[in-house]
Amino acid sequence: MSAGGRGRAVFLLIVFVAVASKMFGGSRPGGVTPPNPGPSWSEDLAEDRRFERSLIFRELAAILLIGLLILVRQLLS
Amino acid sequence: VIEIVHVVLVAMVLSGATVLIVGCIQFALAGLHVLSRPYAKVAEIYPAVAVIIPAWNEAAVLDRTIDRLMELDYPREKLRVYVVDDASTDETPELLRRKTAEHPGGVFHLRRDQGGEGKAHTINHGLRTILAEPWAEAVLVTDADVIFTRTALRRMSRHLADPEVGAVTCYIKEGSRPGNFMNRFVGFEYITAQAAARRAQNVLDVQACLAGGAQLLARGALEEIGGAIDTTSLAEDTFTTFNVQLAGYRAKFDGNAVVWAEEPRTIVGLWKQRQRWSRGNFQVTLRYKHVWLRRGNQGHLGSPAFAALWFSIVFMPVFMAMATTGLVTLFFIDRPLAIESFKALWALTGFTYLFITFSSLLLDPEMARRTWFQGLMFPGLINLVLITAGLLGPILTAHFAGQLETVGFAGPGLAPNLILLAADLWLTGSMVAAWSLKKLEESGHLPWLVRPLVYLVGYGPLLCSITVAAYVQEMRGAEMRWDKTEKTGQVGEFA
Repeated sequence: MSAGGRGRAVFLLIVFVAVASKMFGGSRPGGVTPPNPGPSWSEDLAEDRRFERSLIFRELAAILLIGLLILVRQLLS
Repeated sequence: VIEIVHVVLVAMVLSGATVLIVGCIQFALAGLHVLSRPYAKVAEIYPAVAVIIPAWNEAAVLDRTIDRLMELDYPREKLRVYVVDDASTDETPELLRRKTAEHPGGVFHLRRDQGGEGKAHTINHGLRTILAEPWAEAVLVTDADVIFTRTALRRMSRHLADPEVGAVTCYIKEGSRPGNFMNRFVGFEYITAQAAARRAQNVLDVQACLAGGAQLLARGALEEIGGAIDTTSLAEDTFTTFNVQLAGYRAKFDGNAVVWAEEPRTIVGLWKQRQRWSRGNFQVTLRYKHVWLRRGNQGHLGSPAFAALWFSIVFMPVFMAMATTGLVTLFFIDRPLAIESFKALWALTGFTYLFITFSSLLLDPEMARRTWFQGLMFPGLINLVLITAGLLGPILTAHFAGQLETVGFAGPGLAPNLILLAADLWLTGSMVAAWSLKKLEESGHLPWLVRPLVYLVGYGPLLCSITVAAYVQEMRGAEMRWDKTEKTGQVGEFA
């Protein structure tokens, strides 16, 4: 592999680690007993809608990570 | 003809990745959950809910479960808890007498003097009492050990504002405290089997199973299916789920409504529970044979997509055995093709494993913090070595071909061929190894060895092995026994 190719692979790995560490950091709404008094019904709904919207980005992040791994594999082989 | 045989054998090999490929599709669909507009038809409604808790010797767990139900963010006058005591011989009756006095009009004790017929009969005893009165607008079937988060019921009941919805379930999380490694495996498994798979099923507008630990049924739907649940199988919750949908209602999963449950801590405990589930799935597969792949009045239960989801799980061990057969046959008739098929299978397995693991950790980071190690180790160390070989094979071959040949991992010698044959056999061999682990734990010898061996063999192969055992039991017409999962009451929320 050329020096340029190796450099690209290292760069992609750094991006991969940065994205992964960012992704695994978040917290998920729901599942935790709210402090008393808890959120209202409409606050629950808004929170749940936000979480469901975020799923598409979480899946895209996973696809991106796998894509990066495939790219690194191709570059290094 | 030889070419056709080769194509068939390669297809058999690649079938070994079926479960993981279907898993990837489920995660992709779960990501699109918002596009199915899961909250488009919800409204702030609080139907009168009768909670049924079937209980046989549950004194260790019931006290807290009832207290938590009574503390729900739900109008007090709209909630009643009916504990159906299936002729308990422990302190359950005394506990229930105390609880009914503590919560007059809120907690009811229904006693069956002749017990032991199983959970479904116990639930039906409660249903007869509840449906005899007009009070209940919905029935929540749950288990004695399930701890509801305060907003879980109102998050579930909002879906009943849509008259087309007949049943709702929620995300059951593993909450044993202090949990052991087996609990954490289950915790991770539930991210994939519930948080992801059931969202995917929402997108397909069909649910395979609304968990018996938290199944909210609209009264109309319940009456439509005869006001009782199936008592002839080991999967009464799946039968209810199918029957409600066949009656024309929708079934929904709400992943943001969360309850906590205590799951098995040992291989033997897991084996009993999952064998019951797998036998139940087998019974469902046969009982609803008129549904599969037949569109029409079965709604989406007859869709090819649902059949793919269902049968990928039911036939999981068959795919493993097919892959092994294909690999071993190719090993003896066409070694180069066997090597290429092996590489393709494990590369495919590797990428799908990584996608599912990453997606799971992203889908529920809260549970991921507790179970990430078990998530990574899910296939077992030996399979992980094979996955690594599949993923890094081209890189190793490109840069370390000489070294690999020197240490005997590559080249034409006997050692590389033996390694390849052993690896080919492992897909099926891992199931035998998992069964041996159960036997080891049952024997009581070397208890310290069980945990490292589970990490070595894998939790996935353990589930496959249990499915095979369930097939065998069903084919032998074994007695249908409700082997109760032992509960300690040590369950709580993890934040």
